[in-house]
Amino acid sequence: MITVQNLTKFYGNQPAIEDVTFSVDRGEVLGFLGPNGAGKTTTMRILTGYLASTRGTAQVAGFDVASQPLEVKRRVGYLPEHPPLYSEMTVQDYLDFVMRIKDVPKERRSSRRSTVLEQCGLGEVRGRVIGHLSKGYCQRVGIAQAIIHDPEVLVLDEPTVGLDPKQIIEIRGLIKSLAGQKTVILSTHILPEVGQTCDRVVIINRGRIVAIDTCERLSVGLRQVDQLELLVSRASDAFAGQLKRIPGVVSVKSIPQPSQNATRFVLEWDRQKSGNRDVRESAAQVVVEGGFGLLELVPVRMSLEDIFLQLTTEEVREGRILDE
Amino acid sequence: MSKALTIAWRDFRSYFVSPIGFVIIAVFILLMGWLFTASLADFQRRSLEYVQYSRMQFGDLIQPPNLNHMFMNVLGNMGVIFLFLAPIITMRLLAEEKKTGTMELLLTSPLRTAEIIFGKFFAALLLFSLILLLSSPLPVILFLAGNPALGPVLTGYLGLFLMGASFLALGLLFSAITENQIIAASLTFGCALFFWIINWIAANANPTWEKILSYLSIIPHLGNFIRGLLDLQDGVYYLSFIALALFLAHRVLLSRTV
Ligand SMILES: Nc1ncnc2c1ncn2[C@@H]1O[C@H](COP(=O)(O)OP(=O)(O)O)[C@@H](O)[C@H]1O
Ligand SMILES: [Mg+2]
Repeated sequence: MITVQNLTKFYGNQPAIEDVTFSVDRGEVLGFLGPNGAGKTTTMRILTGYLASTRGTAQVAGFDVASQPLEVKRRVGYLPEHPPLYSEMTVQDYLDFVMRIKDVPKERRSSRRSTVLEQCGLGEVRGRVIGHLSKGYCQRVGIAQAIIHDPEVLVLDEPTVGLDPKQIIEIRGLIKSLAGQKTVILSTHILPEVGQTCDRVVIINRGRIVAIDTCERLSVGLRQVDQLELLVSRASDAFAGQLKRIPGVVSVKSIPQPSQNATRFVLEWDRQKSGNRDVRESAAQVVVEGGFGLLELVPVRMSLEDIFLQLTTEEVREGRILDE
Repeated sequence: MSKALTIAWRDFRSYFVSPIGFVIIAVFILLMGWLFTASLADFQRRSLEYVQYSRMQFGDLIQPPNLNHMFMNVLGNMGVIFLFLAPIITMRLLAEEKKTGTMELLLTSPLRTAEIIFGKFFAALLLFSLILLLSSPLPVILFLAGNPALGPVLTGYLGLFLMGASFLALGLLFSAITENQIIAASLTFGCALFFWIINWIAANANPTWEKILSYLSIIPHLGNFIRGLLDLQDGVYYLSFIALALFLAHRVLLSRTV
């Protein structure tokens, strides 16, 4: 449905994105994940025909964005980072205007209007002036605007940014309800969003794609180092030493937990070095045989968040330095 | 092009939601009312003078006052007022859309760039036509009170319309260039005023330049229309002015990098 190849955009001689290549199948929800300034908006603007690329091609629904922009625009619904709303218009007038400029045939307009008003939960505010609506409602009007011409493809740029938690849940629900029928690209710099709404994720950093995969496979593939957390009540130095001697274990950290009168150990191990025996099993054996008083044993799976951080640490560190 | 009209109508309506449209119209009517009253008073004084002189049989020494001449002055003044109002009418057209982000809606909708440009231009033109229409009671009063010639009044209005449209096209161009409305208005006013006074140096230039500068200047062309002279050259001047400004605005919008 969407094919992007070697897409590159320079602002002056500064690349905003470089050689971005990915594709999205019909009906799929693709998460576009990256820190601020990664190039998400730039990519989406090229896909929707707002910007021209410096190099590379993008095809949407079989049409080339550069050479057949009108055909592409008819088939794409786009929610920009800031919803493009005319604050002085009422919701209904605004949607009528959008339908006219997006070629919705006259005879379908009234049915589309009521369908979308209902779908986006805008029925009660249809006659209200947009400038007087809350941020959550504005975002819904933005989504309504994007789907009103019943496009095959939806491009949503950070649809939940700046909303309160309740509004975020509502908007995510709305996006999920659309997911079945449309091909969706959704950008975000918030991790849980991807896990919750997307089938696949593209992680982009500094204008380059650093990973593309399903959310699940991404978390398995990158997990070279596993973690195990142990909470024991009678820890000693000998215990830490014994843990370290388990084949495959890379590091052992101890964190005293005075409130529980116990110590938490964080074990990291490398799969390749641990051989046949599962480290979890060996660790359990050590604790039980030594009588150290096992309270908890928790294997830690790496979350998408860790992956995201791992892939974009540089950016994160720099961000921290800048913040300070 | 029906989508251009959709845009024009939306923009025209928004002039009257943000009270900009009302303010412009109110300012125009007040100023025009004042100017017209002043001109009428002047006309009355001259009429009295003329009557007195003719009684004293000096009648052929001064021209009888002429309603058409009086109205020519009024039309000329109206032109000056437009010079001030046009930048305010056009400054928001594209600049505001860029500022608020609605430009992203227009540019990602299946619209041609020309449809956006024409839509915006028509919106401004519509407001301007409304203003011209609201000034029509003035000539009507003249026709009720006296017996002026219709021709110069009509051509005068045509000239004003073309000149106003040129200012609006110019304003649209500057509104396409910046997202700051104040800058757009300032540049429009500066540029329009420059074309207004560009021939002031003509008298002191060599004959070729004198011709060129006089042709480029807005005033002589408007002057001909107001005096009732229909010259193809003047029409061509305004139409090419409008076409060039709209073309450049179209280019600017196409070459966006923002
Ligand atoms: N109009 C512009 N002019 C110059 N640089 C820009 C412009 N827009 C974006 N950039 C730069 O391009 C990079 C990518 O920006 P963007 O696509 O907005 O990132 P994201 O949406 O992921 O936060 C950033 O470094 C940003 O500074
Ligand atoms: Mg962005």
